[in-house]
Amino acid sequence: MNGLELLTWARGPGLALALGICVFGVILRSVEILALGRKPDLAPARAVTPGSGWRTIFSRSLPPPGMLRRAPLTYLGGYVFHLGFAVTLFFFVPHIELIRGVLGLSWPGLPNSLIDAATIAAILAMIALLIGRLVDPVKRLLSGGGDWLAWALTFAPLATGYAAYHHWFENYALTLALHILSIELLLALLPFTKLFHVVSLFMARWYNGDIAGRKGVAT
Amino acid sequence: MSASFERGINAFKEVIDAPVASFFSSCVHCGLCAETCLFYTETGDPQYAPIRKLEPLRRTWFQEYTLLGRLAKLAGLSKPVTDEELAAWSPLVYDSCSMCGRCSMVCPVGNDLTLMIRKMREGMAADGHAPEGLITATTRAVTSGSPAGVKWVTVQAQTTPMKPPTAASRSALPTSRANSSAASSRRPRNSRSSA
Ligand code: SF4
Ligand code: SF4
Repeated sequence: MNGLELLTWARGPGLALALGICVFGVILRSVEILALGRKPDLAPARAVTPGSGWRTIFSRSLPPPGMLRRAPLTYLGGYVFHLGFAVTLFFFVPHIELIRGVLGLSWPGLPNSLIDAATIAAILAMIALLIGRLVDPVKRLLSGGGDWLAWALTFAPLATGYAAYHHWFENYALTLALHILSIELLLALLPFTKLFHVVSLFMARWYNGDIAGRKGVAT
Repeated sequence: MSASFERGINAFKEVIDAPVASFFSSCVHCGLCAETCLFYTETGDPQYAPIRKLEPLRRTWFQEYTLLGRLAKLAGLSKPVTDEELAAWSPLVYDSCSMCGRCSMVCPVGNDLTLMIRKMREGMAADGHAPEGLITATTRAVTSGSPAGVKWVTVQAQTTPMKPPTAASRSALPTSRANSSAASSRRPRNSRSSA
């Protein structure tokens, strides 16, 4: 199989397969969580705080007072990576074209120079976060295979995409095929790795806010 | 597997519900919860990271309530939770958490770690790995009604109103004056509680 054939497979059956696994996995994992249900809380609620869970979904995106200073690398690295990744993913014109082909939805893209900057920022932030994980005693103790895997799965599409866009390698078709395959691997493994936090954190934040609200803690 | 250990693991399984499963699914090992925990900030020892205190509970969740974990267990690839491990975790779960709730307010993915530590204690208690003093106090509370072991006669003596001293007893006891003033000062409390 040469680069072009690989590219054709990645764009067609490969993409369908990856999306299928991703959707199936997200449903499976969500059911696994939600089907456990909640234990009845026999204590009467301290306060009636409608919307506490929903508010926490948003409010938890900001660092609580004092935390930015305590863990600047974790917060700043985290923001730069997530924003850079999202901008690159959703506002690079060829990506929007692809999404339009699959979902029929589209929106205006950003100029390539901005996308380029966002990609570089995300890559640098990821490298900084990796070093932080290797150096910080807490993170090193907590980290296991799943953390390194999640990092590699996320880094690969950024690196291959950057290489493809800048024509770093002779064989453009192959580089692009590798880029698409790396995304497909990311999609297929997302539900079964730590990357699933992109879905489950909404549940976790909601429960957290709801539980705190019942206890009379403002969110 | 000892009976108490089985009870402990069953209690672990019982306390795991949808919130706990969503919390464990979401943790990205960012370490921010440690930065809020006084046991870590005061010692610098990473084992006090709040999420670390929950490791046996996390593995129970993964092995029992996820497809991947169950497959890994069937294939013999997962590390089962052991009685010795729970014994080793007891100081982390009990002595190294004041239930202050700071970690739960900071975790960026929204994990309520305090709630999970509280739930884990239920399993640890069922397993007999609660601290000695707590076990004794609980046993006393169940058998005698008082965690501190105060006997019923003592309570009765404290709550029964004293009779006002008679003239005879007053002359018989040199400390009668002190007694009578103590009795009178106690009386209003009794009348309030019976009201
Ligand atoms: S702060 Fe939350 S996501 Fe980060 S390590 Fe602790 S529990 Fe996990
Ligand atoms: S609730 Fe416990 S684990 Fe969390 S910060 Fe407070 S003492 Fe540490």
